[in-house]
Amino acid sequence: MRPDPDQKIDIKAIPAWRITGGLGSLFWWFLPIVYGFFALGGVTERWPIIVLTILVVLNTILQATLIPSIRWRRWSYQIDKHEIYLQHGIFIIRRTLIPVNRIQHVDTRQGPIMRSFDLSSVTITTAATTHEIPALNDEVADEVRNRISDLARAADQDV
Amino acid sequence: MKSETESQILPEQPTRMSEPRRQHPVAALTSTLRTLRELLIPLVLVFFLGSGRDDGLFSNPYYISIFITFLLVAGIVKWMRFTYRVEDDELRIEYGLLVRKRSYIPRHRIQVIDISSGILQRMFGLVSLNVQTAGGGAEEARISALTLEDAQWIKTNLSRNGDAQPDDETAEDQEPAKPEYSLSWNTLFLAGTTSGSFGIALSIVGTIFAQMNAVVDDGIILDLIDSFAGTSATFFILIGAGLIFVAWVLSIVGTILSYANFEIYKRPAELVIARGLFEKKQITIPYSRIQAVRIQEGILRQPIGYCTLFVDSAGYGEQSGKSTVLFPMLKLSQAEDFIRTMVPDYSRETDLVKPPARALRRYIIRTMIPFAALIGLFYWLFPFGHWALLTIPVAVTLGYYRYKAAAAGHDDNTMTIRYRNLAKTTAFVKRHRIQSVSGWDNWFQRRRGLKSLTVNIASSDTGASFNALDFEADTVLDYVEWVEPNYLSKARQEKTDEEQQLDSDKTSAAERLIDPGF
Repeated sequence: MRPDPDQKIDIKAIPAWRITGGLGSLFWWFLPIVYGFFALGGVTERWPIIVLTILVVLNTILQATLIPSIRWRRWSYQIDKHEIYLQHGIFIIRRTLIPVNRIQHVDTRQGPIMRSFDLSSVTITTAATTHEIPALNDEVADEVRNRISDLARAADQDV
Repeated sequence: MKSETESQILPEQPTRMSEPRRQHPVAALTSTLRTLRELLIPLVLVFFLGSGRDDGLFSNPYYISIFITFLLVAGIVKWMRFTYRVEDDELRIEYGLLVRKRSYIPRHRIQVIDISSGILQRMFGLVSLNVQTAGGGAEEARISALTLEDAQWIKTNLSRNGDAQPDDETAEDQEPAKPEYSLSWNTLFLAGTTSGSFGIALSIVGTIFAQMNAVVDDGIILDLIDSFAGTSATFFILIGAGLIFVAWVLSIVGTILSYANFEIYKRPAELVIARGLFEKKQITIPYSRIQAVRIQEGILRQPIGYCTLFVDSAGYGEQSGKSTVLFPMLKLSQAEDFIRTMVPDYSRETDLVKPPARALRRYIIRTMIPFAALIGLFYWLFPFGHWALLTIPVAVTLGYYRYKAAAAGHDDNTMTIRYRNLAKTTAFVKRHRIQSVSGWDNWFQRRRGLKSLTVNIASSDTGASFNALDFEADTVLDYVEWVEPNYLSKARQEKTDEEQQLDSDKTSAAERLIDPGF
């Protein structure tokens, strides 16, 4: 049986995710707000406002504190000659294998918040699925991308 | 220069097709009908759902006729602007009203040329010609109405091995005499009565019926209800039974229309399926495109020992990959033989592993969750919603049978996954067709040492996946590893390592035995 993948992603992922996760979770605030309009207008009951508010505030707090560090601890990857292993997940832990000769293309991308932390993510695409290794240091991400693409090309010639 | 010499190879009438020519005018009609058919479902929906209001665009026959005239004119314009010719070993099609599009398909890119004929074409003694190319993109070309003679000429001159083996071509023309498997009328009828499209038909009939309220005067319906002296419950049951019967008849008719004359042929590198009552449809599936084979035992078919076979294929031509019915209705006992004949690569008898007994609870709970949501909704919405609680035993039973069906196994190169949603499905996937594989567990599964497996293959735009849920964690991790491209050689290596280890143990033991100092 294989041990867990041996590479970790960049530790700066934690502060970066605190920002993206915290900001992203603000989206859900629309739920109590919209519901509040209806409830205060007398259309429906009022008590769910409190429940919804607690839930979205709790979500924002967790996204900005605990979740990024759990997510970072759970993320690992390993690039071998013939296959790539990814393992990640908070509630559902998922170990994924991508055979290198099935890879169609691989690229790096970077959002504005990730850029301020010098982080990029590597995206691996097969004919059926897309996988992402998030939050690698820019140089590491380039290196990983080049390595995967070299391996994929070599594997193509094998077949 | 090269193309000139090649065009001289064309037998006899090299110039015959080199002039741009139009299709037979019937093409205008067939293209109109095709557009109408593609729009059929949205049109029906707009017509029936929109008829509640008077200003509904399609509730008025006047608007409908304008709409159809418009489509017809569009069809005629399309026909006028569409030309085809064969030149320099290429099929050259030009079309488009304002933007002229040219689609030149060289012979070596052409994979299959199919000649078929729908009911309209047959009325005029015409055929339609379909060209499928290798590789993706919208390269498929279709000439919808031309004479059989012209179609044959194009086929002979543009088939990839057209000039190399002209004898083979004529042999291929006679080939339809010998399908490998065909569907008898009895089995076809049986397939119709047990078809799964039943539910779809029911929802269409239901929608139409619901709209009758709007079309027919409310008073009439009330009178009708009054005329039933019995309680309103009897009335609803009668109506329900009537709807189900109509839906059932519709699904039989639908199955017969699409699967009548079903025949499957085997060619060296591909499978050819022909089917259809009025409109003959021909589907070609190159072996090299097959991603998975599935045996599906529908809930109505399983009790009588029948199944349906599907094949998932990656995209070629216009279709970007999809699942195709390999055979609509087959005795389960014959499925093994069928696969051995038609897709021999997938013929396997693998020992299957089952999920452990402690997974049963998870199967039942997983099945009950959507039911619980529906029950809650019914309870909330309808006064008689508590009747929905009766579906709980149904959910438990279904969960139990899902558990019973679940199984997985692999041999050297093929993985088998069996699961049940409603129908029990057994899927066969080759290792080198697996795009990615995941073993995963959530918090509850972790506590019980269970994992689930997801295998992704390339079929349709988004890809398809097969799941083996709640197996022993170690089994799932082993299956994930099995997908590694060099799993086999690695497994062999480990085995020889073990043997060597064993050997050296033996020798050292033997050495120790003869060691006088011991």
